[in-house]
This record gives sequence, C-alpha cells and structure tokens, in this order.
Amino acid sequence: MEQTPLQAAKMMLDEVPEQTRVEVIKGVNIRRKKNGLTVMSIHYSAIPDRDPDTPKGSEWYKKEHRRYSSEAMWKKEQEIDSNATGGEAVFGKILSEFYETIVISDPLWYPDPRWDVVGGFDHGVANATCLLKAYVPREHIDPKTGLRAPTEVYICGEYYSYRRDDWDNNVDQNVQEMLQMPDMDRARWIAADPSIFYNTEAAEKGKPTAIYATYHKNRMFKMRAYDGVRSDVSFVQWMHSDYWRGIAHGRKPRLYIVCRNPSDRPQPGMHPYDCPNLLWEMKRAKRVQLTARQLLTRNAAEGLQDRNNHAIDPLKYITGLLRNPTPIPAEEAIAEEMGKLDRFTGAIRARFLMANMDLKGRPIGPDGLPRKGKGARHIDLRKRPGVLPAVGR
Amino acid sequence: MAATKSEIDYRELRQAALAAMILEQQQEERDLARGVETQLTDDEQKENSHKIREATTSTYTWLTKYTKTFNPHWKDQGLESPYMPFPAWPHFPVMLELLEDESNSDPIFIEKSRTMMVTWGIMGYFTLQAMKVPEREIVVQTMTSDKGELPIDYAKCLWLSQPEWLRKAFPVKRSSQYQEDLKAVESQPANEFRLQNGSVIFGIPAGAGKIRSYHPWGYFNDETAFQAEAGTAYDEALSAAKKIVLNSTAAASWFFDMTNDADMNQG
Repeated sequence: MEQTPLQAAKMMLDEVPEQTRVEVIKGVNIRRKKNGLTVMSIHYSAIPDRDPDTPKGSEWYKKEHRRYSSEAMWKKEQEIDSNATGGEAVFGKILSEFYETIVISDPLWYPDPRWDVVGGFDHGVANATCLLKAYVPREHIDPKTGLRAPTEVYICGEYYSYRRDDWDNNVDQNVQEMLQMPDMDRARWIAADPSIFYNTEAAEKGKPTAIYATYHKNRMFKMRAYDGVRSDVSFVQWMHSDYWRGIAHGRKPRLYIVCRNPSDRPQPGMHPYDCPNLLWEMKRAKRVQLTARQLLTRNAAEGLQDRNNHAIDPLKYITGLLRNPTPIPAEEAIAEEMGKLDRFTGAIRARFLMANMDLKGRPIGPDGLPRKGKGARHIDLRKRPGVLPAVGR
Repeated sequence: MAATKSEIDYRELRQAALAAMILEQQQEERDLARGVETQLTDDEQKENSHKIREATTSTYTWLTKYTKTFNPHWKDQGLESPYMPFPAWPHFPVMLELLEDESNSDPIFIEKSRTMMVTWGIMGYFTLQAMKVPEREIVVQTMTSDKGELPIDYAKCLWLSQPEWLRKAFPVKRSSQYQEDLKAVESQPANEFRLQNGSVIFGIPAGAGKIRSYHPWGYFNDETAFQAEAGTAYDEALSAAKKIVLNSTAAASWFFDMTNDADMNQG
C-alpha cells in the first residue's frame, strides 16, 4: 500500500532531532516535541489560492498583507509568529540586523587567556538560575589615535538551569555544576541579585538566613551583591547608546556575545564558551504593553516585561558595573548640539565649534566631518579681543 | 439424575416477540398516516447501509461530499448561498489523517494561520465521531461562553446540512418522534448538541476547573493561545479525555511556549 505524505513525514520524524520541522505538503509541516508529542503547523501557503508562489496567491498576499495594521500583526496572524507582537522587542532589531557584528559565531574563537574574567548571577528555583561569564581585555592605548581604548566585554559562557523532571534545581546541584565552568576560578567578582543577600530564608534553628549563605557554604565565594543601577530602562539605554553605539555607522561594538549554538528555545545546562540562552532571552525581551484604556491616562511604558529575563539580569549586573562610556565622537556631539539651535544661532555656534576643534588640533569642516590639513579659519574667542581680533592662519 | 431446567423462558420470549410485532404494526400504521414509505426491502437496506458506510468512511469524504459549511461572507464573495460544500483544500486530508490515526492516543497540537477553517475541520471530525459511535462525550473549550457556543453551532450546521438519509441514519435527540430535524436541533441548548445514540458535544468556556465535571472521550481546545488558564485546563483534560486536540493561531502564550519546548513552568 502506498504511503501517504503524512506517514512518510512521520517516519522521517524518527530520524531527525526534536523540534525539527518536516514538511508534509507545501505549507503543512509536523515536528515532535521533546516529550514525543506531535505538533502540526498549517500555514496559509497550503491553500494554492493563497500561496504567494502562484499568480492568484501572489495577488491574495498583496491584497491581504496591506490590510493589516502592521507587519507585526501580519506575522502574528498569518505567519504563525507568536512573538511578533505584544510590546516592542527592545533588542530584536539590533540582534537581527547586526547579528554577525555582535554575535561571535566562529567555532574556533576562544578568549585570550590574559583577559580578566567577571561574572553575573541570577538565582532561581522554579525560575531559571543563570550564571554568565564575561571576559574583559585589559585597557590599552590605541596606537592609531594615541587614546585609551574603551573597555570591551565578551560574554562567553553561561550556566542556565531551571526545574525539570530530572532536576530539582536546588543550590547544591547548581553550584556543583557552576564550579565546573572554565575560568570561573580566576573570576575577579560575580555580581549577583542583591535579594539573595537578605536574611529572608527560614532556618531550622535561629534567625532567618540569606540564600547566599548556601552558595557560600558550597564554595561560591566570589559573589557580591550588585549595587549598580537596576532599572531596566537604563539598562536598555546603556546597551544601545554605549555598548552598541554607532554600530549602524560601522563602529565596532563594545560588547560581544559568543554563541555557536543559537536556539529557538532554552537550552538548560552548561555552555562553557557560548550563550544560547542569553541570546534567546534578548531576542524575546519586550517592553511592557499597556492596553488602549491604560494609554488614555498614561504614557507608553518603557519597562521590560518581567518574563524570561534570567540571563538578561546577570548581563545587566556585568554591564552595569563595567560601565565606562564610549567617548562620543566630535562630529556626533556637534550634530547633537546643532540640532538644538535655530538656523541663525546655529551658524554662529558652528563657526565657534569649528574654531574650537581646530584649536584642539582636530580640525573639522562645516559639514562636521574631520578635515586633514587645513581646517576652518577661526577666531579664538577664549582670548580677550584686542584692537584687532586674533585671526588664525 | 434430575433434569436441569432450561435457562430460556420460552413464554417470556413469545410475549416479547408478540410485543415487537404489535409495535412494528403500530409503526407501519403511523408511517402510512404520515405518507412515509419506510419499509425497505433487504436489497434496498443493504444498498442504503453501503451508501451510509461510504459517506462516513472518513471525515474528509463526509465533509467534502455529504455536508456543507456556513460562510458568513457569502454575499460579499458573490456566492449563491451561505451554505457551501467544504473546500477541498490540500491541508484537510493531512490534518484529518492525523486526527483519525487510531494508533496515536497522544494529544495533538495544531498551530495555524488565520481563516484556514481548521476549527471547522476539527469540529467535523468530532461531530462524525459522535454520530458514528454511541455514547461519545466530547467537550469543546473556547475563549468565552459565547465563543463556546460557536463550535457547537458548527456541529449543528454540519449535521443539518447532510442529506436526509444521513440525518435519518444518525438522528439527533428530539423531544417527540414527530419533531422536525431543524426544530429538534434548535430546541437543544446553545452549548449542547445531543444525538439519539447518546453521544453529546458540550461547549464550555475557557478557564481552569471548567472540565472537572465532565469525563469526555474527546477534548478540543480551540484558540488555546488566547485562553488565560489554558495550561491548567489542558492538564485537567489529560486525565479525563482520550482524544485531545489543541488548536490555535499565534500569540505569545503558554501554548506556543509548550509547542516550542520553551515552557519553564513560569506561569
């Protein structure tokens, strides 16, 4: 008897890893969950009249697509993308457009053994426990500019674990695993969630103790309470305007994430030199979405949803303590200053700024871009004007 | 050796046969009065059974050839009637084959684009099961109470749109023998569809604990991603139901976390 397309696809499922989609017919695929249950996905392209590869389907696609209020809504309703809406994805765009710039995917890349090591830690039992490891190259002088190069951070290694069928996710279990993390023995510090340092856990005898006491007892000595800025809004701000400043204009990022094994779902366990869970969480990090009724009386919320942020919090602790803001380039500073001024004041101010930069030995032109050789004629306004103004060059 | 008494009570048997004959005669008289020819010859009966078997051999055949769906956009789409035969879209045979696979008793998860008529298809499967197998209890859980009634309307529409000989073969429960099909269906509660063979389809609203008073054979959760306590409701259904189907369009939710193995019991 001839095999049906479904039977053939089911047989193929036995040979591929879990969550691998196997096409049954165009637009319909099946996959197996890790517990063996079957998931069928039915996409609109299964209907020939809606398949964009056919003339009629292409027409339907164009007509239907423009009727949706946003691309995100289209993706959610028709492309079966469950994360397309529900608040702005704060790192979604940067991680998709500049994935190759930010994420190190080279399988042969390993951190320099001379780099310093620091860590970030978030405790959880039912939720995930996460330890992130970061490598920080020593400060050095850039031979090209003669200036001190800003600190770079390489997030390279994570331990991510939550309660599972065969795993209670208690402190003792997790510490044993975390101590196996390469290079953590030479970590300078591990910034941890401050709440684990409060005496809130009931003890068998005596006063309540802190969760950290159990970690300390298990030889996790390097943890310290994170005492930096805890605001999610600030975190998102400094990631964009500091660590990843100007990467759209070709600047190097100051924070790299090493991940050779990205995934669409959490990967519990030890990843000695990769961060698949951090990437998974960052792609899904969203701002809180207010309802239409709430928006009548409030501004749009900027905070992040308190969900799937177990690796994001340690990243916040690491980046919050290592902050050493990227110097703002002169042209950007000038453009920002100029943007605040009207045209008349702007012309005078631009002249002054050009003169000022020229005096500093970094001449720029009227367009704000650096000039080699001669810069603009300038009047040194810092000097007291004499009978005749001091005219340079 | 004493003779053993026969276990068959022939007197009682004769009485039962007589009663059956009287009832048959009464039925014939009633049918004559209504002008309905019900007495079929053996050959006719055989042919009828064959026809019924052929019509209900698979959900896909039944849906595409022997019943109709309701299309609320019929006027805009320039159609002659809102009741149209089920479209022969390629995904239906595949989906229905998955549902009909008797060897697989595991829950089935379906994620889909909008307006694929998947809910209609799944309701078709459960309605035919209720028609063919006596005493089948099926529970359909959807977003709100109003929506809970919608899939029941689908089941009623599918049953009513069949040819008369199929409706006769799988009659609905009616308060009197002479009640017409449409009236019999309309007189049933909005969230229930009962058949003469004891099968019933219930519509219940979303939420935890709603299924606890039922012990259904089939459980269908529609638009799961939009139900707040869908995870708990699913766990509750697991212990009670044999055939479980969950279906939804996309939304960030327990359903999609679970189908992607991203669920970490984080609520």
